Amino acid sequence: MKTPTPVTPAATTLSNDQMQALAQSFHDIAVEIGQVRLNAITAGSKLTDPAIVQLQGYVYSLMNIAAGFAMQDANIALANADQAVNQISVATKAADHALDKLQKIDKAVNIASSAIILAMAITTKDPGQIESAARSVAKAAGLDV
Amino acid sequence: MSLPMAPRGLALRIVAGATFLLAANGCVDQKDAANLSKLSDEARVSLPRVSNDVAGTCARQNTLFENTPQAERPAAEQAQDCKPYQEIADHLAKDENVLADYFDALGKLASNQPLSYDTTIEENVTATKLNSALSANTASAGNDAQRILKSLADAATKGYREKQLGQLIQQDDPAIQSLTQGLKRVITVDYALLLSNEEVSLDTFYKGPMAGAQPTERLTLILVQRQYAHDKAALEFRKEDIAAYSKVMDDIASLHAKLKQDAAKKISVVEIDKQLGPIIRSIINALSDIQSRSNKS
Repeated sequence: MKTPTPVTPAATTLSNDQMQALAQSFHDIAVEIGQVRLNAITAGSKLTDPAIVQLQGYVYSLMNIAAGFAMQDANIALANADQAVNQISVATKAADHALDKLQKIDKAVNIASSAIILAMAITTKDPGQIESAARSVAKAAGLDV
Repeated sequence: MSLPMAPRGLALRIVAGATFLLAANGCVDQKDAANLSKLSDEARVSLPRVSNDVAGTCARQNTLFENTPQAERPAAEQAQDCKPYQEIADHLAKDENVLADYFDALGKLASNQPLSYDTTIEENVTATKLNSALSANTASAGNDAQRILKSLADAATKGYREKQLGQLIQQDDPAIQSLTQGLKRVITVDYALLLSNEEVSLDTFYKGPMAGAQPTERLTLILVQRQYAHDKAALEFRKEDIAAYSKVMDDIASLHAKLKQDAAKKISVVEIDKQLGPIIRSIINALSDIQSRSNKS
């Protein structure tokens, strides 16, 4: 007896609104990371401290990701697009929420780096990678997954 | 040798007859359509000042990046590549130009001037070919612009006159509505996000060093605070431009919808111009405000 071939759902191109929501989510995380960095500087960290420099790099990267989603990367098609966008949205909101008034730089670094990995996963269009990366962001933000 | 001359009375009769025929034909004086032509002229100058900043904001963010000491940013981090943004800005400028061409054509037809199918239209049709890397919003605006251009080219080829003005307005209304909303969305949503990124870059660039300033750097701090305030004010002007651009696009869409209604009722161009004059002048004022702000920043 033949094993049935698993049915892969057809990829759906993300709508304007979904692309915009993605862009806005990454932008919002960049803003929060920038604020964590600034709070740390105000509290006495130096501009050249490795963690501060690292956060600065994440701010740039997240803003570039947001700009890319908003203006350039047309026609991103994902299998189970709505489900994928929902996973991303839950993860990025959790990250945004966790970063609000966050004092610990290490946790901010973890959240930012996992968010960047999520953005890279989105560009691979692989649902498995997206789901896994979204879980990592949620976990870094302290959400039970 | 002297050429035989027509009697002076006959020449006067020919001029009077021609004037009567033109008046009976409903032909209007050029000044009656002056509002539409002025709208076209202002749009051609003002709208690209906003959309060009899609590339402008990228360049300014790179300046901030390059002026940040290397020790304060990761070694692997690089300045943004602004070329794609310049391409998008060029594309948007072409779409806006089509909108200006269209209102110029309406003005010409309203005053019964022929539309000429010239190389500019042909070049524009070629130039608006879509780039696959554009966002869905920009690409959609480009499609609408292409439709309008083709319609203008057809109108020029077929030698449209005032009588066909209503036909042109009716057939192009869906594309005009869609183009104005498409351009509005690119500027108010996509470009607004880029500008918001610039604000983060600006805050990051100034606020960190300001927070870490030593008491001995008091005067330097005051100078930097002033420069920061200046840059923030310029950013606020650009945000006001976004709001003005949005209003202009909504008003152009609404103006065209009214033109379409009037065209269906076969109202004369003179009457249309009289009725819609205030809306057109309001759009022109919003466009002039964009120009004034861009001269200041």
